[in-house]
Amino acid sequence: MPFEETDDRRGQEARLTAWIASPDARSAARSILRSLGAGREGHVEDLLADTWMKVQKRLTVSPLVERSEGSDPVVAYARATMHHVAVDLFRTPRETSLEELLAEGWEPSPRPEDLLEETNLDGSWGAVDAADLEDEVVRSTRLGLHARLPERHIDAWVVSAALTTVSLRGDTVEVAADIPVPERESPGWARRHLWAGLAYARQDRCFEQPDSGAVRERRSRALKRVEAMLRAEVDRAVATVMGRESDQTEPVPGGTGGRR
Amino acid sequence: MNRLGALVEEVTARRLADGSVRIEASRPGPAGLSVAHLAEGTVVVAVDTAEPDHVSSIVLLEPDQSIGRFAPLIFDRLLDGPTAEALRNWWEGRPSLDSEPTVLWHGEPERYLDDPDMRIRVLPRTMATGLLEVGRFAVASDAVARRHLAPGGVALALTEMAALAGVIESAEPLPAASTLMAAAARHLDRLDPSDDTWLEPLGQDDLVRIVNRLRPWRGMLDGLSGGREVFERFDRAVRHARRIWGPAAVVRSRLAASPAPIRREAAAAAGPPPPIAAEAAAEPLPDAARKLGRSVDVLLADDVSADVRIIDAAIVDDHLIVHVGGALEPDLWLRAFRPDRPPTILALVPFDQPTRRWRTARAVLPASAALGELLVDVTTRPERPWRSADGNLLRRAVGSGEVAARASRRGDPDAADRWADCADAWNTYGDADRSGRAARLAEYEAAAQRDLKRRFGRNGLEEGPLVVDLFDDTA
Repeated sequence: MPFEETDDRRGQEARLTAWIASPDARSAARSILRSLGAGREGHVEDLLADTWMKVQKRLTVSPLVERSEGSDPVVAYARATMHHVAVDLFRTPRETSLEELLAEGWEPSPRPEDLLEETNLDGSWGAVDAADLEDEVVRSTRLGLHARLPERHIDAWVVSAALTTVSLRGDTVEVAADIPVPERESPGWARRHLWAGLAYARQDRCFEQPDSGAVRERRSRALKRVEAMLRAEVDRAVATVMGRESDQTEPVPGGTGGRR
Repeated sequence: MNRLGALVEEVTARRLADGSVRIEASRPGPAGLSVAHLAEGTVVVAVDTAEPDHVSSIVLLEPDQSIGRFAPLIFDRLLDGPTAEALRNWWEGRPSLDSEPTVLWHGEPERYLDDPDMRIRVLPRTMATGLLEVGRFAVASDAVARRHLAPGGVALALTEMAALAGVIESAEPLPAASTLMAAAARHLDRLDPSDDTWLEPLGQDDLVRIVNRLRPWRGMLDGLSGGREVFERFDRAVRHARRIWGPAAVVRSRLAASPAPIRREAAAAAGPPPPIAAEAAAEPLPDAARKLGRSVDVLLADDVSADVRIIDAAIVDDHLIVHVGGALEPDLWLRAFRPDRPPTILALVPFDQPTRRWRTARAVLPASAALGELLVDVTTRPERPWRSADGNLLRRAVGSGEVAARASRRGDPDAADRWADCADAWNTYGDADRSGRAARLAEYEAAAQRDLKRRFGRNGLEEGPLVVDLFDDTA
């Protein structure tokens, strides 16, 4: 499904996050769980988190359409979704989906190189510089990376390396002494955090000795995959956070303006 | 007694915020829930996995279609007269969005589980409403997606689902019978015609049971696209297997030759797992790490084997380092979250491969996180969201119930033991009610082993195992 970036979607994602953190959402979760005989506080947190993930995933497809005047379609959808997600607490998670089994089934996974996108290897993150990675963008990036994991053809080590790279931006944390680092004067120095990401993700084959042409090629492909995913998620996170900001300063229809 | 289940005390309805309607009948039992999608996906029925003729809830995604137009599925098949009448009256009163639950029916439940002979368990079956078939379709739908089956196993499981979908065709199940049959044929297409290895995980008598299970539906399934091909391929595989095993072996009863006791003996012979302290002592962690590190609580997710133990977990120099023992899972992950709402993942790293008696994972944390509160777990399923300690205990208990329910359907001699395990799991979770229900099911299974006639009279078991129950997981 193509990723459709719209102001509506970004605003709705922001309202979803705000509602999930609200006392109203917590109260709704408690009520649903009590009816299922599972009213413990830990389940409330699980249900809120699961609901956020499910609705957030839905919003990446297209914005929700308002069904009745005055009601926020995001909150209405999230409230209803909470009921379905609560039922899922009493089902063992599936290994696959019936939909996948009904499709062709056992399609061979594409070769990693077929999934690679052309990326700029200068070490920058597109529109975002390290200094611009404010807390909200970083958090949204992390959540987005985790949400990619269930996707078909996404390897967990790529997400693992990307998360580590996010943690190392800004050089406020030192990597362990045994983690491989490119030469300081080399062009690869700008990608040292991506290197570390691969190493912590135990992609040891990318750092085998001797550092032959084949090893360098393998490492380069792995770095490209991590960087491409990271760039996409940072871009998405920036758009979401900026959308939230503009949504908050948008004038209230019929009002005199100001923050909602 | 309400048609939705012998244990139902109250049936309620509420309109959800998105306009859909939720009908609630009973709380999930000790084996949790299975879900069927009917009316082309607009009606979602959640049934009790252990006793699939018990409905827990029904969600009507398009209530105008379902209630407003008196859909036969709702008014004839799922709900009985008084409950359906109350639902129609409630809907005509135009309930507001996000309404409070309204009671549609109230009555005394059948205390059949307390009946010494439990003969009352057959009562709902005699009503012959078709709910059991809907329930078995739900259980099969969930089971086929939950298990790691050999390709041939998936094909046969889909074949049976096609048959079940055919039985409840008027309920417009999703996926439809024709879709399931076509998918089964496509899966078989991907097999090498001369390769019967996917049959190997089957017990000899399981093969016979599959043949018997599918035979009554053959006429119906032959009419569907790909149906004939599935059976021809399956027949060839069975003929091949019979040549290998011989006719005498094929007819041998599974009840007399269950592999379960053998597994238990093997486990006992292997002795208890080595003590954790001994594992840690084999290669002590650096003293400096122990002194400087801040210890961290680590949860073991419900998908991790019960043998896994945390040896040590600490934060040292912005690194979260966790050692575990007893872990043989090939893919094992350490995750750290910040306790936001929803929890934000900070780190995800794999454990090293199981070449020693313990395994280690090391994650670098952002500077601010190393000093703050952290949620940390060990899992084989890194894609899942953070799950609380309560949530993991719940999932473990439900999982043990699913295993027990499968053992019951198969008629395994250790079904009573599996229900006893389930009762223990619910006890650990702290739910005396569900633990008690599981314990009573254990008593029932023990009695059924002594008197096989009971098994055939028990509600929900007349049909025997599902095809998917007869295959073991491949991985």
